[in-house]
Amino acid sequence: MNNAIHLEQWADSRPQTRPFYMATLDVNERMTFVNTPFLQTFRCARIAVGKAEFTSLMHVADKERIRKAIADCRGQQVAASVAARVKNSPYQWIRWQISLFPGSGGNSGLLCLGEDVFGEALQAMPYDGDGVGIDVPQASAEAIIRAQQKERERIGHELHDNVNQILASAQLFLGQLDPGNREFRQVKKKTTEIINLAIEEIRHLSRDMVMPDFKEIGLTGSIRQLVKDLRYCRPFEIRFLHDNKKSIESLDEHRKITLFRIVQEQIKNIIKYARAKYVVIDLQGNETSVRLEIADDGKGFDPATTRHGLGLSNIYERTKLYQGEVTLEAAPGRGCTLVVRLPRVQCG
Amino acid sequence: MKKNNAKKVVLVVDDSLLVLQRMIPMLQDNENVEFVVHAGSYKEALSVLNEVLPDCILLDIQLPDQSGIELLQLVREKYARVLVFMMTNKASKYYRAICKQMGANRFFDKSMDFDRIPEALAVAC
Repeated sequence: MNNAIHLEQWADSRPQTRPFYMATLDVNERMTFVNTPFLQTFRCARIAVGKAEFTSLMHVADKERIRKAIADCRGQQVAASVAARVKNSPYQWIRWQISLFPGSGGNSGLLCLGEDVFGEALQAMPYDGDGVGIDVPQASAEAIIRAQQKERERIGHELHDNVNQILASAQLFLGQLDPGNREFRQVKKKTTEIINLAIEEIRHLSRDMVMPDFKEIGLTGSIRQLVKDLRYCRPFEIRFLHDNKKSIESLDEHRKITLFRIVQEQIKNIIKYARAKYVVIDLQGNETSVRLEIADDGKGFDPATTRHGLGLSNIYERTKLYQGEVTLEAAPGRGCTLVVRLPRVQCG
Repeated sequence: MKKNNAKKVVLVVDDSLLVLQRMIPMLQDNENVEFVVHAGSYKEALSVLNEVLPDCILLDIQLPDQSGIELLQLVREKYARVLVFMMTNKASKYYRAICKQMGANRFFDKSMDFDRIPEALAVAC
């Protein structure tokens, strides 16, 4: 193959308005060179400059495909073209062209040139290495929110409502055993311990499946991630503002989950009904409360005559649980502003 | 991030992909260089500097948004210990003098001195 891919020609052949990603890899697939869009997208400087393997920055479901493309490129000396999602940003697909790029000393590095791909282009793009099909998500914002939430909740609820109930029943049943018999007592003790452990494990799993990981990136990070994912679908311009991150992140986990769910719920409503061009999410925290505002400039509605759907009812229900307040300002043609205020400490 | 071993992090600020095409293998083979980040503009360079503190910056004067000399000035103010090698086609005495005055460590004529950059990196870093 022609090793010297001409960067200028390659860059000229693609839309100038979008960034392209570039990385070179050494023989161990570790990155030796990246350009700024790559650094910004993958945040590899914070992982470990020069130490991170290229594949470690990809979505877990796509790592094997990338590895295969790299192996094909090295083994067959041909350029490989492969699409992969960005780790922690599963709706951002990048199409990579991977080719040999020997150094002047003959050490064969790899040159990876990537560009963002969206819905239809992605579907039309097979991986030419082994014909592995690409699992393409519906590239619409509504589908993203719906699929993400539905699948997590389905598994989470399945675990919580089904498996957990069976184990709890078993625990009750064991409690009915006659404690007079010494052997029975030992069996009961051991079995109860095991079942309690199982219940606890499932509770954790269930919660993790349903909830984002606030420990790692916090509430602000989770909302930012959601906003970033939506930007790739471009249903509307969206901004996320917040102040006093420390105060927001010091909220207890339950309130964070509630606020995150409300953001998801309202964004879902906006996507479904509002036809908005601009959406702003504003999160402010102080010592006594947290205030979340989600405003859109969509077609609005008359709150007096419009029946609350399940989405808005959910928001009211969730807020009520923490003795919070919901204010909804909307009018036909004038968008909608939802304000949720949650007290830090439960009153009464 | 970078001080634990002898190998260095280099930031290349240049909007010419042709230069980059030549530079990648050159830096890849340089045993003093561990990692290279490329910025194609003044703005990109600022965003990189927020994430990574390089040991050395290879800096072109003519950038698409602002002058490389302005970036040199900023680096000297904020990151005094970072080495800055100017690498430009504007190799007149005037520019050499200005860059020296602003604190550039080396000055290379892009069309004449390109091959001397690896050696300079080895000596300086």
